[in-house]
Amino acid sequence: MPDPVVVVGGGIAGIQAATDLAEMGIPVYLIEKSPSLGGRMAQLDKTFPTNDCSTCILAPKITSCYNHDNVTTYTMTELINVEGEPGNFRVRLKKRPRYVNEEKCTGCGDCLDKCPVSIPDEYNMEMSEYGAIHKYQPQAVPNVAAIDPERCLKLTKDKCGVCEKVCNFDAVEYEQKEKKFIVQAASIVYAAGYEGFAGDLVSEYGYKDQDNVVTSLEYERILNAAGPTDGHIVRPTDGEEARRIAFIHCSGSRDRRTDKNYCSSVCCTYSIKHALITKEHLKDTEVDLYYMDIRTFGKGFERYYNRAQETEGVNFIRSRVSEIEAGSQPGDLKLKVTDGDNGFAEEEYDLVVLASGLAPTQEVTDTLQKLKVRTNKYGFIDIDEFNPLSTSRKGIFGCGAVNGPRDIPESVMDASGAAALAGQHAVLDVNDMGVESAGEQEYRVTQNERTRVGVFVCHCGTNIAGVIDVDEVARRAREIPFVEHAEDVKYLCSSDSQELIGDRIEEHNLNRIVVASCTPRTHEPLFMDAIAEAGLNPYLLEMTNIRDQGSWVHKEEPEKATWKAYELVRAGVARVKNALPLERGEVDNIARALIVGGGAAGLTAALELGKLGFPVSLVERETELGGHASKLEHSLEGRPVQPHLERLIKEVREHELIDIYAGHEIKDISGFVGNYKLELIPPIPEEAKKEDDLLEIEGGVVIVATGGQEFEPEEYSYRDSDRVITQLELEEGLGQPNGLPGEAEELEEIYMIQCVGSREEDRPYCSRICCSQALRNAVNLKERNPEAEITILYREMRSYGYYEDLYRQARDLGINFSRYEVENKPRVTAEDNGRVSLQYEEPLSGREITAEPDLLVLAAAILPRDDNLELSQMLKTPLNEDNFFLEAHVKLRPVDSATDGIFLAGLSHGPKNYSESLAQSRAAAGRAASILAREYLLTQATVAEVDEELCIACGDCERVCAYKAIEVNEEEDVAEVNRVLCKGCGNCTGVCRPHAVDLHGFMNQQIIDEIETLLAEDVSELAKSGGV
Amino acid sequence: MANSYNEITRELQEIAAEVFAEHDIKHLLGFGRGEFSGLTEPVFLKKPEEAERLIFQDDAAPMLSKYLLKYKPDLQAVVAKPCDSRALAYYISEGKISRDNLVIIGINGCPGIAGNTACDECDTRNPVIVDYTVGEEMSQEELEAELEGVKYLLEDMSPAERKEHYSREFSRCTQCYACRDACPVCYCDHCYVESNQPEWLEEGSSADKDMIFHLMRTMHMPGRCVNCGACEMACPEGIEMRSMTTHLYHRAKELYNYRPGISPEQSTLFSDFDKEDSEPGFLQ
Amino acid sequence: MATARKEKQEQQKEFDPKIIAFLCNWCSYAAADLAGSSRLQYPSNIRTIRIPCTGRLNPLLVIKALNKGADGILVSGCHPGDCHYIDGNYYARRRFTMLKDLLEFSGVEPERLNFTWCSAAEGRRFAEIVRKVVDRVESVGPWQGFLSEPDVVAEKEAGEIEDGEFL
Repeated sequence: MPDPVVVVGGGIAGIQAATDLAEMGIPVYLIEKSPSLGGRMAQLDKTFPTNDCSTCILAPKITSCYNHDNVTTYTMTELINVEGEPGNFRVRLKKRPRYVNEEKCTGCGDCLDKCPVSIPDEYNMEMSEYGAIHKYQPQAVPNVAAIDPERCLKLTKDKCGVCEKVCNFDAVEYEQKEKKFIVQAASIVYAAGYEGFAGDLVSEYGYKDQDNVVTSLEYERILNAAGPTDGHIVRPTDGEEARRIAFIHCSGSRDRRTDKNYCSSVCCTYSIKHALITKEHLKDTEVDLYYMDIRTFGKGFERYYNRAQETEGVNFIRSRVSEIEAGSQPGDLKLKVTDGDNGFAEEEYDLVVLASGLAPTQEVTDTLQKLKVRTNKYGFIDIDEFNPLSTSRKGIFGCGAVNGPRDIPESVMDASGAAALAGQHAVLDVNDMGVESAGEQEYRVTQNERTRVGVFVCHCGTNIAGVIDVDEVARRAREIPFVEHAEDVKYLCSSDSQELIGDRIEEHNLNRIVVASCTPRTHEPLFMDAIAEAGLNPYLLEMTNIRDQGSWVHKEEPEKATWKAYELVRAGVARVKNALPLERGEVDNIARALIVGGGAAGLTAALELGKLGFPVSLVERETELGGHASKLEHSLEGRPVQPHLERLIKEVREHELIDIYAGHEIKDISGFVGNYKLELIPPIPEEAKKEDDLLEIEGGVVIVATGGQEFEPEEYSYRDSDRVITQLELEEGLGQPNGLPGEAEELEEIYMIQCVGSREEDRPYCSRICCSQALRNAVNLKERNPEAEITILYREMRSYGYYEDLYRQARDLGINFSRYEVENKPRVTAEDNGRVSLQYEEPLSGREITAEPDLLVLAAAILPRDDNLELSQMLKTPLNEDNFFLEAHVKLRPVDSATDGIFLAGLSHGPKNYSESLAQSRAAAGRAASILAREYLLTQATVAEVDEELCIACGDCERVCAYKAIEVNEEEDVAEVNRVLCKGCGNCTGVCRPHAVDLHGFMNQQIIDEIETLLAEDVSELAKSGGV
Repeated sequence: MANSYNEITRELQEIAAEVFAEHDIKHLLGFGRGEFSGLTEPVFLKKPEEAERLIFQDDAAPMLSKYLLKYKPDLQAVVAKPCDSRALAYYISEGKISRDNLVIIGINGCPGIAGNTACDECDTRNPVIVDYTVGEEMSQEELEAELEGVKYLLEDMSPAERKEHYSREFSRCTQCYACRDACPVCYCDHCYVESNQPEWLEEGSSADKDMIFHLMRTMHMPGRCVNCGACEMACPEGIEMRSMTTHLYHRAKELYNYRPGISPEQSTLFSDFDKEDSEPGFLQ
Repeated sequence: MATARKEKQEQQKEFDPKIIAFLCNWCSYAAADLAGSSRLQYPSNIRTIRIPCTGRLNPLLVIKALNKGADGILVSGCHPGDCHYIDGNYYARRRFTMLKDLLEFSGVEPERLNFTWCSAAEGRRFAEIVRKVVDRVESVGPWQGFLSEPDVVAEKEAGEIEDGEFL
């Protein structure tokens, strides 16, 4: 058994790190300060850019982490200090008393209403109240109450004690004391998160005095159906619906006065989210966003921004708000806004939302000091660009917002990467890691029982119940044949609802379950676990999607949506009544990673996996390793890249577990998770080639790290003049003597144009790094020749995170910035003398300016590689709309592809800088390790089966099967299924003429029943008769 | 030129004797005169002396190919019209029968069967696989000349007219399944129509259900139907149902250049694809 | 018969078609989910049946759906080349082409038979497809079975008992 790892922080980053480590077979102590796992993400209403319900995607992850055999969770626990060395840390912990026994409490809630004390609800940002005994949040994990010792009458005055009296489980324990204890750990992952800052920092915004000025986190709670206002957008002062709302970007961020000059990176996009969701709640509300630059630099964010711009009533106003004061009516707010050259304008609003930034809490900064981990001037962990996720103290790793401003997918990436690094100290024993096991659980035998279906209809807060009459659906469900029990539940995915399903199964002896809620694509596993927990075979479940494909898309037709939901439930019952109990099989897993691409990303992933003890085969089409990174002169922090890259290549070459296939082309890729095969074409001269030259390598996982490419500009005379170059060419040129037209020291007038090829109609994404790269290069040029006149023509300056410091530095150095609109781009003409002439409009004065720069540098877009399509087809994993590889889930599975066992790293996944590529590669290694560590993988239960009576052995199934999973047995004259190879696609079932092959889970009978029920006349009759 | 029935009959009798002499066959399956009906019926000949019983007349409608599957492990000889030979090639491609177990006496320049409209538009007048032949081959030019201007069934009707046509035709259907039973490439032991779990075809007979039966049957046919017309010939109600299978027969030829039973090596239509296959009428 | 027809005409006015959509789990069903998480609104007429791959869809199931009274059909899978199961959609394409051809030949309006591809990233396209399909089906009115009404059926009914008369 490997040594344990301590993960500090039970937010999304900590949960991801803990889960990845646990999946590697490493015991994890997960430490959370509050009474429940979930962290900040659990407080969010929706997540950008998909507007996915935050809780809905997070809850299943929390539950599966908390229930993982290798994870021990300590809530209400804090870290005191750490002694010892990596591999042998002694971690001292302090667990505050909960005054409720975690083992005994069932979370029934009987005590909650009885408490006579009211205290501010921390989870709802103190905008509502709960008792001194309370659940930290409705979906708390563990689902256990806690008592606030400072307000509890029993604990403060030895009075009351009512919670103890009403508890049926003897779970209340007033005598609990603080516990200090030590755990041994090989390494530590620090994921303590952030706090939102805003209001108090900028006194002019009146956060303290004006109750109708709220922070973005408070606004999340206001939007949330389970929040203090039940999801109604109303003003805190008078409960009136807010009809005019202002969002103020950069509240406290990018502000010298607050010592927080950095950009918090996430606020622009979440404010757009707030705007869009506000419009969904209240169509006629006027939404104004006050911003300096819109920094939608993440994957898919630019499209999100475009969508908001196209939304009527959402106004983007480029202006700094200087002051907020009381408006003309009580509760109203007056904004003083700088208005271009015209001085000040004033505007009144019902509600103002401050887009608060991300900062480490004082406690985090203090703890980091105690841990002897170096922090930067902002109090975040000081990160080495070339060694992201590591800290100054060996064996301690940071992930999530302790590393700096991060959004959710970046935090998740950090977490998987930190898991890969932390795991290296835990000493994995690759030969002793069976994590999952098949068929161990015994299920109730239901075959001879009468069919008794239980139907559970989820409100999903108001996500469903806000449109669909769930009570009506449940009520009608009770009348459906075979239905024994039906009820509607607030949040079916919460852990107490999971238990409720189990209780109902027992109570009514249910043997089939229909869950009407969200999409089975994300939640089916959760509900399968829930019914398995209750002793029912998990395949006796049917989910009907009444949210993603119901309430969310039929908001205008609530009655029809209700009937549709009812019909789907009815069809679900019809389908599940013929479901069979199924079991999974086992398949061998090859403990080797196949990495495609030998650039910095591929090399990093290979090295981390090698260090974890897994063999790696690294394939690179060029004969040299290094890829795109070998062209980089300096990092965005200004440090030389090549020494780092050379060291990386050397380490990879010398690692005994890593085989390198440089100069090899990939001919084909086959197989599936646990069992991938790459066919390689070795670098053999044409004339020496033979038939059997092809090389085959096999592995359990594939990491795609094939990189991207720079856009070759067609505009701005790039092709016509040597004086027009790209930023990358400038960097290369700066590194070499005579690398530029004229020595860098002599270039006197330099212009840079941003967004060349990015954020265009046919390429509506931001290339993310170009702004910071231009700033870095401009600063470098300016440092070489302080006399140089440098002007950057930009659309939005997207120097997110600490690159804002670079922006500040550039301004301080006297570099000029001039904004242009996409409709009015700068115009460049090549002159006969080899020079270029540049015209653009100066935005403040509106003056047309003509220049003849010595050098014109274009920030060319980062493009997906041309062969991504071909590779994606070989891998059977999709690309996104821009032809970058598509992740399995934009928020929570940012390095997993849609296909099991294939992971993404670096530019193949989307634009990112060098350091971000390294971090993602470490994440890919962490995710890959969680599969490689298993001795075998479980196969699907939903495989094909042949009815031998019906089979005519015609061989059609065999011919259409891509996995060779079904073959005709000539002796027996019948087709046979190989359950291990079968992936459950059903192509055999679709082609079978005598209908002898059927697919479990999607059987002909089930689908026919579903069709018949969906079209049953009486259902329509019911619909017509009204009732809703 | 199509050969005459009498000439074919004469040649068949000669060759049958030869086949018996050269091969150790279990039987020779051909056509003979029905003892009671007086019509042309399948006969199993066991001895060379019986060779003179063989005939070929314009009412030799049954598809002999279908009679073979029962005896597939034995060496057997069969008289094969061109359409039969295609059914045989199809069987071989599906592994239903081994080529080694067959001695095929093919009829070249098939003169067709009286009353079978499929013969009027037949595009295969010589057998595709043979060991012995009778009659003279029909040349490609002759075939093309004969097919010149021939329209296939219901080609000229509008969909709405066809709908009416089928409404009329299937009102007579009694679901006796003679069409299915006569079909050489319908050889499942258990037909979908007899399945009640799942119930593909609901019980009871009505024009609507008959239509469904035929639509479902037709969807089992693309890439299999050799357009022999046996289905229609077998129908006691004289229902015209061949147009459905024939339509897909021609469409598969147009879209995929696919003709069932042309070679024992070919894949079935639905167990093969081309990445460039067209998508007529798909939503863009 | 005339009254029946009149009734149908009246129904047509408030025609709310029912469309059975067979969606592949990996692309089109995911696209439908994405349409949801993007809150793209589309008509509630579709009833989705989730299938692992369009290759799973036996053409008889489509006939069955029409037989059972679906006014229209939508089958949507991964774009050619994107099949999660390598090439299931290529096989499916041939089956659907033949099926569509047969049904249209036999008098089913092409507007009722909708086959298309939609990737997991195309939530917007999915919503558009649904709108388009609903429009198409509405343009041809309620589905009244594979056979045409006239005399033929009347002639048959003369000697027969209506379904369900004994019940």
